[in-house]
This record gives sequence, structure tokens and C-alpha cells, in this order.
Amino acid sequence: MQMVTRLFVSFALIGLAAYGGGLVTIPLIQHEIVDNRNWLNLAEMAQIVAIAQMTPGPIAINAATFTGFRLAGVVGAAVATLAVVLPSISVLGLLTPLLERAGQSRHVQKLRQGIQIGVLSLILFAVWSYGRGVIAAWPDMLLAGASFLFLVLFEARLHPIVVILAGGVVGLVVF
Amino acid sequence: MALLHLFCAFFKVGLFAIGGAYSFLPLMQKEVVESHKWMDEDEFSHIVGMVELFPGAISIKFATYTGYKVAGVPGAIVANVANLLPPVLFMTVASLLYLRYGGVPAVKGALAMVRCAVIAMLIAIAIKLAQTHVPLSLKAVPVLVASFLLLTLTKIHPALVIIGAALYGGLVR
Repeated sequence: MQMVTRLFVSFALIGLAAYGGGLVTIPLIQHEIVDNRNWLNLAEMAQIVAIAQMTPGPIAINAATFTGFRLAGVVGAAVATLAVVLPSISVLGLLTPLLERAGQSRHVQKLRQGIQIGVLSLILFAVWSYGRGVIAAWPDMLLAGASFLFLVLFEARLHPIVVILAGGVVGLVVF
Repeated sequence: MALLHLFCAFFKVGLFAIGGAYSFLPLMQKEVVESHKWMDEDEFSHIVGMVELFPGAISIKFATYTGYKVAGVPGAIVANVANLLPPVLFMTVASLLYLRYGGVPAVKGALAMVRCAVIAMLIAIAIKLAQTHVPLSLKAVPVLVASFLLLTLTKIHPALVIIGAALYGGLVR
């Protein structure tokens, strides 16, 4: 029972702080699940992110489902997933009417620009921390570089899942 | 009937939203604006901009906003449940498979390569964000550098960095 409560609190915190969404939440999840709670180590966390990229849905939800399931079975998965989405829904519900009125004000615009700077720094940090856990040798670096070129060159035409799946196939063949 | 439409639309978006925000927005726009006409193009881009001020995945925020607009609180609940079902089901199956077959060398190799591709994706997103959203003025650079250093060198909570940057943007600039 205690584990379920702790899962709820941790993932509600992640949900509440998850500005920018998507891969930006990696540092947040890492901070809470790996550094604070020691529920997973960095390598396991990297595995979850890899698996999450192959399944549909935002990464925070995927991570909640996986971690909850791993620590407390189906109940854990349900509680963690619910906890990670609730803050977003409640904050949106409470604040939207206020912001509809203030939305065009200069302060709100500036606030948004500030948030974007913070989000950018978080992504760069995710590259750094996640990269240290993942890139162990030159071949890894090469593959990351190749994937990056593909993403940039074919940005409009190539669905990101193609790059993910191609990475998986290369891994199957090489190792 | 509206609830059924909401369920189908958001289930579809939840099911096909693989690979993050890159693939998500066009999908959502097709369902919400083009197919169901729940909002027009202007309102859609207005919402995309506004929800940046709120925490959470953009799909959750869109499900909540659209669901509530179309059918009130029940609409918001139905849209969110529909949007969450595919990821939760897929991830539960994936967790089971991983816990059972994660040690198989071929699976390990495949996942190692996927992790490399994810790094490439992170860098691509950072560049895209820097180009399109963040006005990378001289004033923004010190905040960016300071935030990055704080994150790498200290154990600061990432949320504090966002709050700090937001305050800087809102009050100082």
C-alpha cells in the first residue's frame, strides 16, 4: 500500500513539473525515479525511454505505466499513470478561464518566452545526461550521428518512427 | 453521440502518436480541425501556444480542452481516457515482454541502437526549438547557459530551472 502511495506522489510531482512535454520530461523522470527514489538505475531508465519511443503516447505516461507495473503490478501501473496526468488536467481546468482573458497580455507572452528558454536548457541537459548513459563507444556515436543526419535531411518526409525502427534493425544485425 | 465521436477521435490520436511531438500535432489537427470541425485553424494554433503555460503532455491538454468544449466535464473525461488507453495498453504489453525477454542478446542490441536514435532525436528537437520558438537573443543566451550549468553541476530540481527561466522572461526582460 505504501508503495502505491509513493508512486502516486512521485508521478504527480513529475506531472506537475512536466513543462514542454515529450522528451523534455526525461530529466524530470530521472531526477525523481533514479536520483531521489532509486527505483531504477540510469541504464534501466534509458531502456524505458527506448521502449517508450517505440510505443505510442507521451514519454511521461509510458514511464509511469512501466515503473508502476514494475514496482506494484497492474494497480501500480494504473495509479502511476493516473497520477502523471491529473495535475495537467486540473491545472488546465482551473487556469484556462483566467488565461483566456490575460492570454494576449505582454507579461504572459514574456512568461511563455521564458518557459521556452528553460525548456531548451532541459532538452540540452537531457542530451548530456542521457547521452552519457547511452554512448559507450565509437559505434554508438556513429549511429547517433547517422540517425541525426536522417532526421534533419528528411525532416518533413520521414516519420521519426522510421529512424527508431531502423536503429532497432541495425542493432539486431550488428549485435 | 458527441461522446462517441470524441472517444474515436482521441483514441486514434493516442494510437498513432508515436515518436513524440513531431508526429503528434498534424494528427491532432486533422482530427480536431479538419474531420470534426470542433475548432478552426486559428483557435487550434491559439491553443497550441496557450497550453505551453501549463504542465503536461500536449495530448492530455488537447484532450481536456477539446473534450470540455464539445461535451463539458464528461467530454473531457472521455477524451482523456480514449487518448490514454492505447499508450497504457501498449506499454503494459511492452513491460511484460521486456521483463521476460530483455536479457536476450538480440533484444539488447536492438534497444541499444534505439537509444542512440533517441539521442539524435533529442538534438534535433533542441535545434528545432531554438530555430522556431525561442527568440535566441543575446539576453536569452546567459539564461540558457546558466540553466544548463545548474542542471549538469548541481542536483537542482529541473522544475526550478523552468520556473526561474519563466520568471526571468516575465519580469526581467
